[in-house]
Amino acid sequence: MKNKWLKAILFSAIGIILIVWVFRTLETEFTTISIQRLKEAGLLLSQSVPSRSYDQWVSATRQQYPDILPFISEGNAEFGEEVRAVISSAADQAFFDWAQSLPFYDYGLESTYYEEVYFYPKRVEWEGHPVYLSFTPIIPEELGYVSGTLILLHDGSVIRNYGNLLTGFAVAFIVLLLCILFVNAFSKDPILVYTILIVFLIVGVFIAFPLYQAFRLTMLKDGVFSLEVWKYVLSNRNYLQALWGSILLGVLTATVSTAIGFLFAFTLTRTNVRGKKFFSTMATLPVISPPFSLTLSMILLFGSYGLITRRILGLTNVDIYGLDGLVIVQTMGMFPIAFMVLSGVLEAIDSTFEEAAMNLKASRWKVFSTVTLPLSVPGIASAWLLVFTNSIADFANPLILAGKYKVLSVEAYMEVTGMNHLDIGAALSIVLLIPTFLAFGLQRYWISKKSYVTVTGKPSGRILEVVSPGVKRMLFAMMAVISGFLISLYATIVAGCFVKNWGIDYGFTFDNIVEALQRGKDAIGDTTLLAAIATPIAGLLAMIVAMIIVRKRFPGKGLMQALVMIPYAVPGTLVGISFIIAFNKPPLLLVGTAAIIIINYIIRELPVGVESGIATLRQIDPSIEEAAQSLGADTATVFRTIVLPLIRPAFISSLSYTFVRSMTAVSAVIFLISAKWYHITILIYNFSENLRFGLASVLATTLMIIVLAVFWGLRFFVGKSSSMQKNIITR
Amino acid sequence: MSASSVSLTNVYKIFKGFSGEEIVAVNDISFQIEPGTFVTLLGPSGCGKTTSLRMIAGFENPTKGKIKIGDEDVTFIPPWKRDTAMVFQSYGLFPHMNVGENVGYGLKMRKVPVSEIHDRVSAILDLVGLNGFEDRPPSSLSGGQQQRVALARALVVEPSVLLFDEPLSNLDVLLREQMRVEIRRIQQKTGITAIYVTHDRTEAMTLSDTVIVMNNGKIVQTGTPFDIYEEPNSIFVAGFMGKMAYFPVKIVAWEGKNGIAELYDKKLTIRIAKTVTPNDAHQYVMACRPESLKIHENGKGAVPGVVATNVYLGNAIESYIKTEFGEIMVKSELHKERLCPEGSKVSLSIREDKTILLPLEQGIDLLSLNKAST
Ligand SMILES: Nc1ncnc2c1ncn2[C@@H]1O[C@H](COP(=O)(O)OP(=O)(O)OP(=O)(O)O)[C@@H](O)[C@H]1O
Ligand SMILES: [Mg+2]
Repeated sequence: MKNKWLKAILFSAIGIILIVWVFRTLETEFTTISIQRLKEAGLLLSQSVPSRSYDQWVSATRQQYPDILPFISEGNAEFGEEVRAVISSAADQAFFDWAQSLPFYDYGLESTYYEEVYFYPKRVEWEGHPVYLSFTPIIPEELGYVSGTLILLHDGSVIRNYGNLLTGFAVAFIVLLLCILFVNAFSKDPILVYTILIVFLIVGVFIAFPLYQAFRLTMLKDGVFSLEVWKYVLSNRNYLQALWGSILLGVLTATVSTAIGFLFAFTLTRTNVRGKKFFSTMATLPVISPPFSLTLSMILLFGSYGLITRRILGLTNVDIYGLDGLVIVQTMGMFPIAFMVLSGVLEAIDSTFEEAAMNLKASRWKVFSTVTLPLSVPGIASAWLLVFTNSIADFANPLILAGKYKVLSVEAYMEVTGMNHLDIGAALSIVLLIPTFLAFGLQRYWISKKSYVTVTGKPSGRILEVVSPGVKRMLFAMMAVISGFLISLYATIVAGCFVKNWGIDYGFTFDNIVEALQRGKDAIGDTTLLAAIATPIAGLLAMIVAMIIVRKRFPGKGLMQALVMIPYAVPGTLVGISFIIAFNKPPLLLVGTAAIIIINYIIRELPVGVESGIATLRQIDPSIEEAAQSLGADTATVFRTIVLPLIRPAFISSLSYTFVRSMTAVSAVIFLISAKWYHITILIYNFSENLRFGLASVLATTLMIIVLAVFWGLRFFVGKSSSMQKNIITR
Repeated sequence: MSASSVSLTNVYKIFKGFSGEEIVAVNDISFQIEPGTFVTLLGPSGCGKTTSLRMIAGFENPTKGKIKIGDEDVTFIPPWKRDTAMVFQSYGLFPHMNVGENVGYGLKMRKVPVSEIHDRVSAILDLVGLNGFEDRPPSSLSGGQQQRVALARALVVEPSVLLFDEPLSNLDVLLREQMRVEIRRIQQKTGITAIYVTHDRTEAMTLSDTVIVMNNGKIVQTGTPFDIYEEPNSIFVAGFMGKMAYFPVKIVAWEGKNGIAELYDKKLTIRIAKTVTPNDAHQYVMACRPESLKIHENGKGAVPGVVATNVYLGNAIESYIKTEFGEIMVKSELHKERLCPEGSKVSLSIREDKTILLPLEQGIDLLSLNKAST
């Protein structure tokens, strides 16, 4: 033990000395060379100094070389001449007042009288700038002797910055070295410690830091603390209107979606209607449908030039833009969320409750209203909240369809991209967080306590028909209408690909496809490439985080888990804005690169992957991993050969999830794209904005095809391994 | 196989509970295990057996103390760098690998050439009686077969110490007895050092060279199964090893290791347990196994009583005799004794050579001791 300390300290001492020596040498070398160059520049410059009327020369020089400030002292004391500072402005005066007080000033002048250049080797501070001072003799050609001294102020900031950079590197190296030495010496499991440190670094730099920066920016005005931004935001009627708009939209969408979700979930779990598979596909598909696609077809069908509104009904003054359109589109896109929550809940409610009620001679309606419904109330509430938060955070649909209706997410986007008001944008998207957090809190502390249903309850498989045949037919009809509507929406987009000019000329054409693919191929390529890069990283990272959270004990675990989960609750708009705020200056200058988009994908999809990894891993007997350890597998090997194969279903579904979500991302990525790295969804948006609906349709269809292909492809993999999953869950 | 010694020196393990309280799972234990011996950690649930074993395996870090395997201090060495292999209660087989891959896993980690892995895997499967099971998935095996695979997987890497954590508790009684014999046979054959955790005293008795009895995170007695059974050093150990009858006595004199005990008006010469030193300040009880008591139909025995119940066991009979010290069980072989009917007045005689004196700890109630059945 003592030995280890000694060794670690000894090695760190040697390491630190080495690092310091190397960096010192580098810095000195660089400074020497730079000084040499400055000296030569001074000499060269001194040859052009005229023998009298310096003013013009001085101002010319200052213009030509912005990083050199020349001053002149006339006369040569060696010849007994009077030495006089050439002063033609207050600035000159100030300089000489300062310079003459320097201890080496006289020595510098004196050196020049012997035709020597004197360069003061240390950096000095002049009016807050780092500078070097040099004294160069002025030897006018016509005289041939030293007639005065050229005093130059050289800008020292380059040398200083370089020095700072080197110091930064040296410190980083030393920290790294100490980390490695001490972790290796004192940790039983260095790989684990490094993994934990790296995960902390990632979540710290890419989750905590940007959000902190965004929050900080809203508290600053001209670099000092101020509540100006918040005062402005919270007193501006426009923004309050937008906040109210978001909430109203959320409430409406959540209510309608929950109703439709309940309709599907109830009918599919509590009756034996035909076509269950079809209906449940219809009720899940929109989850992976690309953004803008439903919006687009709504416009194509019901817009001012819409197929139905204009062509069929002949209406001229309808306007789908606004709250009504938004509610319809969001509901179509989000009722699947409610459906999935509610069918889980309804499946878990054992039919025996209902049977018992029936036995007690309750009517069907009574059974429903006194048993089924009350039991599913907590489920309904959480479905509602989930849709509500999704609706509030939604950005893509309102961006196109809101029209004059104001919602916060779009407002924030406008502030940032339209007005370049990063601080206001950040503040608005932080406001967006409040309803989300309220909903989360409600879910956590109220609904989960009210829940009577143990979700572990196995579905009994038996179906008790609690509805009369007439009601069943009605439910079936409603589902059919909604599904039909959904299908027609998707069909419209496909149709849009082949129509010459929607609303005006419904002639058939392939031109759209050719043009859209021509103009969109880079964006499609970029999007697919970036998503493909992010996917495995996000998947692996999620599984690694899941493993250390479930299996390892270490300080700060709760913090790590909280940080990893944050992006789940934070709207994409805020993530995007905080990224451009945080990563727009060195050393983390990422804005405009592919990296920032990839990192954004990874960070945003991490929580879902981690959650599913944790859930799967919790079911696996830890002694399986311990057995591997005791047979000689270190942490990394255990992860690779045991954990990853065992949580393969979670891994693959997190891969497919990340890929699909990255391909269809809008809200954060819209802030992060650049001319070099474009995103297909943004291109769809641009086409729609310019009323090129044909092109937009083609891209939306392409995106749907890619997403479906990947989704079903990976499904196939997971399906194959599901038999294995049963074995994992030992007892 | 190179069997190693194992030694623990003043090892503590303190867990932090949910509300931050300290749970002392292992409280200053020290022991030394000779190479090639079979040692059992025995004790009631929660006494820290598993924790001790896991510290030897490297899954837990001792809060304090030192662990050595052979000559190497392994206190801060991770599990994968220790030459130990563990057999788990829940087997811990890799569900995504077949039997052959499971058994070969440790060899692969040790970078053994593939052909050699194959040979060694089939050799070890032979040893555990699972010849030809290489390609079966673990889920298709019975519990006993799975545990054999787990055993083979641990054995095949020829560890210097083999660790078992209640490996048989998931098996039914018959299989358990069979596996017990198997484990002992394989350990003897391979000469490996084995540490075995159990709360089943029969397992401990039949398997071990040495039994370490633990209670409340401490070692209470170490010895051969015979010693532990016949010479317990405390009422706890005596009780844990099986049913005991206890009689409070007054020690009137000590003759070396023998105490002259007074019970009613009889004087008995009873030796004190080997590991206990006589101390006048202590109170003592006489303790003997039910088979060392004899029922007399007359008042010949030292302790008078009334037969409460007779329980017929086939090869023996258990009689419960109501006495002043509670209900005392007597076990007798049926064909040797005449059965005294329930309700008859009897007396009990005690075989002095089979009886020992144990210190009576403060606050222990004899009546309840005699009632508690094990
Ligand atoms: N990871 C842990 N965190 C907190 N307390 C623990 C932990 N592991 C064990 N303990 C506690 O330490 C004590 C000893 O546990 P241990 O598992 O060693 O008992 P055991 O003798 O193996 O019991 P059993 O026969 O039931 O397996 C128990 O009180 C247990 O609750
Ligand atoms: Mg245990």
